[in-house]
Amino acid sequence: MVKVLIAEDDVQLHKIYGLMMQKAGFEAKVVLNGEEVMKTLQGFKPDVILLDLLMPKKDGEQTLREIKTNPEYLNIPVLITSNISKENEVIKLKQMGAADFVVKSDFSTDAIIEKIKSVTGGAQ
Amino acid sequence: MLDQRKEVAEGTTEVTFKLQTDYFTFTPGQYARIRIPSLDNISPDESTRDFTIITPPNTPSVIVIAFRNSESQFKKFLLEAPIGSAVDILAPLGVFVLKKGFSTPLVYIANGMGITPLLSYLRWMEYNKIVYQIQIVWVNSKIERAAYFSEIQQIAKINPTIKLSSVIGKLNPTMLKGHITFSNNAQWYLCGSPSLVQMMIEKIPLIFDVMRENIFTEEFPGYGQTLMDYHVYQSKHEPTEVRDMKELLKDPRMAEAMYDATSAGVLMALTDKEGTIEYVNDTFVQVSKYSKEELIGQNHRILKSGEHPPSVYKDLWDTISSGKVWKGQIKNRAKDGSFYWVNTTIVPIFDPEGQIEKYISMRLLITGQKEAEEMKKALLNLLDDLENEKTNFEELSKRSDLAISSANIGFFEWQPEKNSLQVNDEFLMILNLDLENKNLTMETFSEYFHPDIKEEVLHNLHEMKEAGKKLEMKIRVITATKEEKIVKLVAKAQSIKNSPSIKLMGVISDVTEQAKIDEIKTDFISLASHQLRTPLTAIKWYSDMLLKGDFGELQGEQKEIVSGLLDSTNRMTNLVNALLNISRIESGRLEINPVPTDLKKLVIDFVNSIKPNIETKKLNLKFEIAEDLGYISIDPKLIIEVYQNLINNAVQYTPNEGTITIQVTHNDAYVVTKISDTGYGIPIDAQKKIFERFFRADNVKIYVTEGTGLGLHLTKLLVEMSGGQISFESQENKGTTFTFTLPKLGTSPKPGSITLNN
Repeated sequence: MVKVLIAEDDVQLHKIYGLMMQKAGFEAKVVLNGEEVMKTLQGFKPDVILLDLLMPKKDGEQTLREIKTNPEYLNIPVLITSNISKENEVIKLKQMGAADFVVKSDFSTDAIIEKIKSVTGGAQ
Repeated sequence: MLDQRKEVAEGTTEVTFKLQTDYFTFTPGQYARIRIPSLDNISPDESTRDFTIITPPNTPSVIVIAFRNSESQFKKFLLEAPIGSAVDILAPLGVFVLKKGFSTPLVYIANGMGITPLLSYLRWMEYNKIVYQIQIVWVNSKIERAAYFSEIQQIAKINPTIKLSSVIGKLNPTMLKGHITFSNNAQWYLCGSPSLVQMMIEKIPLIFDVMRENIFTEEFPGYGQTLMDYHVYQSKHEPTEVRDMKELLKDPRMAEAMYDATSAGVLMALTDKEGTIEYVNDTFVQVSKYSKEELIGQNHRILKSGEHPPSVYKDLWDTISSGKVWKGQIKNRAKDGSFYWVNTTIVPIFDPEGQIEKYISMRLLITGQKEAEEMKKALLNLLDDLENEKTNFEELSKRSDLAISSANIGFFEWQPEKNSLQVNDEFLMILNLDLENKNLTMETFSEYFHPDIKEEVLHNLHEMKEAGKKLEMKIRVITATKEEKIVKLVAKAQSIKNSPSIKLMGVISDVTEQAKIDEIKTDFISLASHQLRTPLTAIKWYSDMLLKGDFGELQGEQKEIVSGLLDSTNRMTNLVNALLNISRIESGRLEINPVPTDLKKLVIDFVNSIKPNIETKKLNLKFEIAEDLGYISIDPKLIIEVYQNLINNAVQYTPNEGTITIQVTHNDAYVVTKISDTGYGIPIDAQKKIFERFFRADNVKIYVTEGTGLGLHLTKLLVEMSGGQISFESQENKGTTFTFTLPKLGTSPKPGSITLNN
């Protein structure tokens, strides 16, 4: 089963992610911010991490940096999912090791699932 | 006739001329043009001079003037000619320019005899028992030279709203500090020698809270207009070109409007009902770059830029020819082909029968843009000179280039070895420092850097160790008066002759306003993108999942309703995206990054991605793409958007089983794309508006409910930014062909901080 860790601070999106992952048959943990991502990673080894950018406590960029500098986590693909689409940001985040960048509002739920599948390379 | 002469202060003479008329009126601040016929043969340049009229109220048929004595032929005549000598007087002329009248507070700064226009006003106010709030700063080299001092002091004493500061010394901006107690919403009026006034006008806005637009000065011929010469006395110089204006100006409302307009630097024109120009003022001539002779008799349309859709011009004519006032912003074309934007008001004038006889237009140059351009030009010239080492600090600081001084650019030269930092006045003014404070060092300069960036800026400056190295940065500073500003610094390192060390030469300019606007725009873009898109995402995903049956199969109408919900959400998302792209483009910070692009592949890839839509509608798709197209250097992010918009439109607005043809060919200069459909077409009356924002033709709204009305507007912007042009041909119910070109030479790259969101 594909294991997904998602950080999303918007209450509604947080809730939908849970439902979406459940329907897709993924094992998912949805948390509210970067700090919780780092905490969750200590006991949960996901196949992919979906990171929002603007989050309280620890934002997406900082979280990505911590993931990519930790030898234990750096191989986990990270999808940046944000509604802010500044090109410079995208380039920077990709250079920092993000697998891809998703503008949420332009993606259907199916497209999100597809994206996760493509990034995890069909992890079982 | 020269009637009286007396000394009113040290070296200052008052002369009274008696007029051969019982009736002479003038408005305070107006002036008289005096010509001494006997000088015409000796020294024609000196035979005519202008003087402010200071005739006391209720003394008809005399003109009183006062002046500083000098050795000039003209003044010698006035000082020495026998009483009773004849002169020609053309009066009253010009106006004491006060944009809003005396209803707002006034700051009046006079140097020496620059007090006379105000004196004229004060006497008039005194006579009519009218009191306004006026702050006077009057600068004289010594008190004995202050003509009419006791009279002005007396008026100030009995009127508490008039505050008089008499300053002994030489006029400079810093001496005003402490004398001016209000500057907010006040009009400023500067009067004295033109060079001093010019210097002060540039510097005052840097020191006081006053905008450049609110500072006025005397308008003598050559500086301004002689619009008010409708009352001409004893003159051989009958003005000819303003004869029509004279009639019009008999209408007091018109006179007042003209008065205001000229004073505010408005471009004015009078045309007949066909639009043939009968009169233009000097501002109009300066801005349009045509001479008066070239303009008068021509139709006003010679200034038309053609940059607006025909509907704009039609709306203008429809409005004014129906007798209504038209207001709007118009882009016009000057003689040299350059464009200028003007805020325009056109007022129809009726004849006694109530028919439209003429149109008066007033246009105000849209500044900001103009200033920014001047600044940019000045900076570029300067950098060129620095680059080619054509100039050095001494020269730079002496340079009286108006563009540079009006752009308020500070220069500096820093020699780290000697620990010396030479700067000009503008540099000090940007930091709100006293102009005497010229002994700066990098250490004292850096005291004004904002603490957050101080180390970084100093580090960057000290890193400039190789000749030829360039530095450009924005620095947050806290000025001597604790004002926070954003200062742009551009500098270049240069070698010093016969020395291994280097010096740094550069310019600084205050870009606070610009930075604020940029910040607001950026904030808006991120706000719009994040705050609008996030809730939209939630609606989209919920309805998406409902529709898929993730929460149980939907029944009958439920499915239709949720599907409508999803459609609307997608429309909203597209609207947000299109708006974002337009604001990105309009912010001017969009990056254009041309790369050699295979257009054929770009088009076919896109068409493949929308195949399902094409197949659903059973559309017949034809490609006619030239085989030898090769690669063209364009920004694919921009151009893909163009193809997407045009092809999607063709698909959407063509009924089932129609045909869409995509043709890409090329000629010598351009790659030409034609996208034709056999669709609903664009109705004639909608054709003019098709590229306007938020416009959607009525006929297609029935067939396709979605559509933001922004696609074609965006498409046009993108094609033009890529160096091409777009047009279309359409017939209702037959189809539409959009044609756009892209230059074969490729799009020019443009640096920027943002890119398009495809």
